[in-house]
Amino acid sequence: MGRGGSHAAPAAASPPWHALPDEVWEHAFSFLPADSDRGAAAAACRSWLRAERRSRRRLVIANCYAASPQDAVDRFPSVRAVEVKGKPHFADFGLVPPGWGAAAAPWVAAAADGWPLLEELSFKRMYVTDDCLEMIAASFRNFQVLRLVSCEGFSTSGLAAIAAGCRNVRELDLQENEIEDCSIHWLSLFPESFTSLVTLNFSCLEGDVDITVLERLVTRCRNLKTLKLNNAIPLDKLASLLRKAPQIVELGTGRFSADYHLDLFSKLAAAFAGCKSLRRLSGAWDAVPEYLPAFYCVCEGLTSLNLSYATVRGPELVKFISRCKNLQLLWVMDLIEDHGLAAVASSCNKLQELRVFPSAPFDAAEQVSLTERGLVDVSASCPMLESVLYFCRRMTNEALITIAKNRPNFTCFRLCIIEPHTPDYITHQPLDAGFSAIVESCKGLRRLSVSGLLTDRVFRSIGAHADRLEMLSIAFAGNSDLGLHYILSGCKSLKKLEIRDCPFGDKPLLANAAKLETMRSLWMSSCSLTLGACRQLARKMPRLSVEVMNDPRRACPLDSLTDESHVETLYVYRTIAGPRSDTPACVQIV
Amino acid sequence: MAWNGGFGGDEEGRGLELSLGLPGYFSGSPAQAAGLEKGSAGSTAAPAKGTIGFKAPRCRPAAAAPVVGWPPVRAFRRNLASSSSKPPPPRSHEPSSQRGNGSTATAKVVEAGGNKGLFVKINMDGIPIGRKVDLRAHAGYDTLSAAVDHLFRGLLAAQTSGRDQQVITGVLNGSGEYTLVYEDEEGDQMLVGDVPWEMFVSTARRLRVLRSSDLSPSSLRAASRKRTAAEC
Repeated sequence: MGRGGSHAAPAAASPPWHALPDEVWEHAFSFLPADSDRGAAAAACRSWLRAERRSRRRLVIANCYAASPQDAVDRFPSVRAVEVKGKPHFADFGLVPPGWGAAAAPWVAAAADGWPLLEELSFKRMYVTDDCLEMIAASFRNFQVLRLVSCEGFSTSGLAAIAAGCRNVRELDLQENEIEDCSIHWLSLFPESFTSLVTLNFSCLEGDVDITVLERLVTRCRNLKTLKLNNAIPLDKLASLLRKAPQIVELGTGRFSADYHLDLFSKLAAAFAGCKSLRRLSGAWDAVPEYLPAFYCVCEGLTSLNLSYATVRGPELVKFISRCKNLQLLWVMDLIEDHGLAAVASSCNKLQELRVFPSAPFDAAEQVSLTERGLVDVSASCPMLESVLYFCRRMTNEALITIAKNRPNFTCFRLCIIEPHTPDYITHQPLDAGFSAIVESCKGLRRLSVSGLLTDRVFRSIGAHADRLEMLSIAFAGNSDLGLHYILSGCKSLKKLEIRDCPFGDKPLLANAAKLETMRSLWMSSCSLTLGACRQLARKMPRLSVEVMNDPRRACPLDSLTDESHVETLYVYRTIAGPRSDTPACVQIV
Repeated sequence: MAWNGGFGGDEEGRGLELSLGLPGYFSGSPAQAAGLEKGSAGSTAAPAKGTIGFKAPRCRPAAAAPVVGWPPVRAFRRNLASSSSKPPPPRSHEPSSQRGNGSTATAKVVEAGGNKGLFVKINMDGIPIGRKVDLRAHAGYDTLSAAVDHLFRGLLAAQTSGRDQQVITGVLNGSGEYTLVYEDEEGDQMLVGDVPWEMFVSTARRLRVLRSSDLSPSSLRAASRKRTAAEC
């Protein structure tokens, strides 16, 4: 420490590093990029624990039942931003009954009490009530950001409370929630003096919105960067809104359909021409092809395009996307078809993330020509492609092997072949070889969803090669306990495992019980589990919560069931909070 | 073509057997696929360990039996698929007015294990919380009017605190304090009960329970509601 300065005091006068004041450590920890790094630092010694926990500003509770709200508040008293996630992922597809749990209320109550300076609150897959929203509005004087993703339980009355009560709110981001529509005009409750909005996303709202009020709000919030409208905002109003907010960076259009009128088209095109900062575009429900050219002037600047709700197909769609040469993110419906994806492949070379959604998921017959070809083309021509979600109806091992060779940089690969047990349509073999190639080639793969006809063999590959894999989704795959055993005994970094309709039984579960404590959660439904094994697991691993559910419409009377009885749904997660007390009748904790 | 594979020492000396029947795209339903094995009757429990056999392919692809939560698409996306019109035939320069005009509320069509529900919103005068009712779950006007009572009785009592819970009756014939009206696909308000039940189910987009004293003949056959004005 004393180099160069000849008058430096002897080393003993400066404090030894381990006696440095907390503020120094707090400052040092602020450079740690990940919460897990901070957690590791906190485990080093008491003084680091003290410094780290007191200076933690952002907290993510990835499973709301892993710890109690009070635990979180006690440990991290200075938090300013919290994200809490509730229901398991399969809740998105209706596999978790209403009333299952994940209530936000205890978190809001604890935060109101322990974190009065809280600025940001984010809930994902949780049950949020109007009371919660009212409490948020009343409890945090500097509340700035509210993000609700895939939540339910609240209505526009709750939104009204936020609008009226949160004087400094910057972001109101409502993504894919179920919001009850009440006869309250929540938007008009933002005071006339309120101008701080930067993000307003109400795209998931079903009801009407007073356009005049919205226009006034947009006009006075000069810092508005993100505006995502709902389906109730008609096309002709979009133009006038855009004229009032030309600084917009992210736009979710409302309904993008109307009878074609040249003057409306011109108005729209002119309005878009004024939006020089527009980079992200979404919405476009029921998009009418004739209006797509109105977007042309912003195409060059777009980095993100979400047309996954736009049931538009044909040359207009492809022409439009092909103009977006700087796209990094593209979400579309399978109506784009293989030839459309080929055009994307040649035009959008900077693509990083592609998602293709099914337009007719419940139809047996193929209605659109979207096959493995589209994905092969994109993977061949887009060198930065690293994240894929692809719904299709057929696949081959050869295609997957080619894709794996083209794109070893995948971090997320989710393939959903719509009909379960679908083999390679040319060789009729299982798709083991294809998915094995993916995990062997993509060393950085963090998320994987497999589908189609698969044997235990693929799980052997996954277990052995997918070292960085954190989340794995399996459905209608495998042929014996071995499949599950390969996964649980391998996959060093596995955090979340969700399985449905696979022939996996008790043995691999019990043999790998300790693994479950290194993971966040395990979901198994419609497999071959018995209650006895679940009881044994719960006995063996006291820090796991073992939840069992048989029929979501009926109570689950565990006491009267024998060890041999079949378990329909198992949800296991590690927790320091002990068994939760808010289970509905259909769920029992073993 | 049968394939016997072993994986070496780590599978308890047991070989895995896969035998394919006739090659071909397997187009049975997932429930049938699972049911081929020793699963219990009627359940979709996964096949037992060991052999998997395949049915000979059918001549034409059958409609997939509905499996809960499969394919894994979110509820929003299911409604999109079923309630939006099928994509129009390629390239005509006509405006797609057949997609339905934007001024009509859409009824949500929800799939749950094979039963298509038809949920429409229902609001009651004076109650800020709206509810939803599944029209397909009712056989006729009687059960619907009973449902109205069921849905709102508690909420109504909560609003008019101090009074006991009063049964909500007479919504169909004008004899009660409240009357049930509906909004059809053209946006007109009509009295519930006038048309045959099936016709009502196919045209009703939204329900309202209005105070009988507020109703007048002219307000019922009102022109299409505007989508921007303040609601009652």
